[in-house]
Amino acid sequence: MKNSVLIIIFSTLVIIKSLAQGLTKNAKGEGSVLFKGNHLTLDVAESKISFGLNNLQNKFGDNCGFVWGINANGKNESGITGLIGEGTVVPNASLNGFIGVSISNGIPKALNNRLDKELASYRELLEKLDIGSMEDIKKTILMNTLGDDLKKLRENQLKALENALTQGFYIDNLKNFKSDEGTSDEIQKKEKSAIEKITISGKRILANVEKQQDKLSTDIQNTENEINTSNFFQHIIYLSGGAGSTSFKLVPQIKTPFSDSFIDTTFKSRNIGLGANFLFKNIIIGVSYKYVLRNNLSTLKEKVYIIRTKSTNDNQSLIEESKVSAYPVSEKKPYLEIPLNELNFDIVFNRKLDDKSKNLLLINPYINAQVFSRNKLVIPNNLSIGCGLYYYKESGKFLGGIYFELPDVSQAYEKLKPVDDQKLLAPYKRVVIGLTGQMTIGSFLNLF
Amino acid sequence: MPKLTFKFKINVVDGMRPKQIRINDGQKKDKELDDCQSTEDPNVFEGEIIATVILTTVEVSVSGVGALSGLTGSFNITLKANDKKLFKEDQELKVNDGNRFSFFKKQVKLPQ
Repeated sequence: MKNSVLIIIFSTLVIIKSLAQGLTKNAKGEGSVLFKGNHLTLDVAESKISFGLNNLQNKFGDNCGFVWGINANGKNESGITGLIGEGTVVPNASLNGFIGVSISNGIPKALNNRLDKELASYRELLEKLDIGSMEDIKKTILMNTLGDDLKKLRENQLKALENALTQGFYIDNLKNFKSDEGTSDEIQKKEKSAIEKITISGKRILANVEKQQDKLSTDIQNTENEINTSNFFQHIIYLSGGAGSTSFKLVPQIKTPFSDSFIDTTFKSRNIGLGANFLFKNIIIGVSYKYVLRNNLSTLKEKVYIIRTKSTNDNQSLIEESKVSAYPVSEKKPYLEIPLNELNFDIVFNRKLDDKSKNLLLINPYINAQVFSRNKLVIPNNLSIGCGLYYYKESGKFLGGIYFELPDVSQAYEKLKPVDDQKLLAPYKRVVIGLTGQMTIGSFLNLF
Repeated sequence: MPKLTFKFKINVVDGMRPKQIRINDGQKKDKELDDCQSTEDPNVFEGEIIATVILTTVEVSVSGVGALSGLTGSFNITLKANDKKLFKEDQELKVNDGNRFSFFKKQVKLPQ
């Protein structure tokens, strides 16, 4: 009951297919573009859960950084699954990961070094000017407040200078100067005159400060401008690898008792390869090349066997029935595990649908090729091409889309069959349309 | 004269990352700025900058990178001495077609 409720909840969120660590999908699984950020994907159709962690988001814009990520998929026949149990991979589970390097020009190195130098010089100059102009203003105060009758003004002004937010504010606030109440007219006149002189000299000192700091400030501004007008890019080069296991039953021959006919088999898949992602403007190019160990299970036909057991007692009989799903194999149709290489190539265009980039569309043409099959008679080399269209919102945690794929362009699998059994069809009749839905913990905007 | 301390708060959206904020000769960038990322909201960067200020104005510069043109964030700066904001309204940070955003103003009047 609990499982059923969960499945109903999840089915409102996710449509078909799950995400591995790739962002986009093809009919066989993931694409080659890495998804930045942590994600959780649920797949009701396959009772599958996928969970990924990586640090790509934190490296966005860093000049150079180490990147890593892991992704786990789990699947149980009974429904929602635990991923890994007691340190061993459970049936229908896989664990993949990648490590690599991210390079980008968030602040280009040469400009960064230049900016650091300019800023250090600027800091040195400002500190020097700060001390120098402070002394000059103090001297100005002292020189214009000579005599005992201006002693109070002198002390007050030196104190005001010390307490002012900045020297600029001290000079600026002099325009509001008023002599203390009870000060004689004669002294008021002298104070006013002194303040006017301090103001004029102070302004001159600060004008000189402004002039001197302006040159270095302009240099810094130019460097910052140079950084901000250079087009941003990010390149990620990674090594990926993973392993998985799937359990199923094979039926080489029917034996008695019938239950002995079914051989429990575990396929331990593995893959290792290289990949790269290139981000420039609103485009990501992804490419990956992997060594993969595959089996030919998809070419075998699954059958459901029903075993009936009859028990009789007097004039009564009891019939028990159990169902077993298994793959019949023979010498002509054997079960085999074949190493091959896989090439994925994706281009992802991220198009904003409004000025504020609140609604977005991903357009993802892709190529998926199986090459260098070690047994072409069982798993032939083949090429699939397709295009995915995905919609998401800036604040969205869900990416929904549709993909169109022409699988096995040259119909290599079909050509393995005897000529009479071959059904070679025109490409437009073989186009596969699939729906995909992915949920993420973060936001899909982090994919770029 | 002692240097002034400024508090800054940069709000971005997913897909944006600030790379530098500068007030006169005071600057936070890269790792230092990453350390200012709020633990509650990763799109908020809050911290302090100490700068040498002689005049009544300061230069303010903020820049970063963004996944998509059009993404918009904002920032403001507060003078710690009197807890007053340098800008009446938060200033906009918008990602341009080169996947960058920036703000620069040469003479920002300090609040008294």
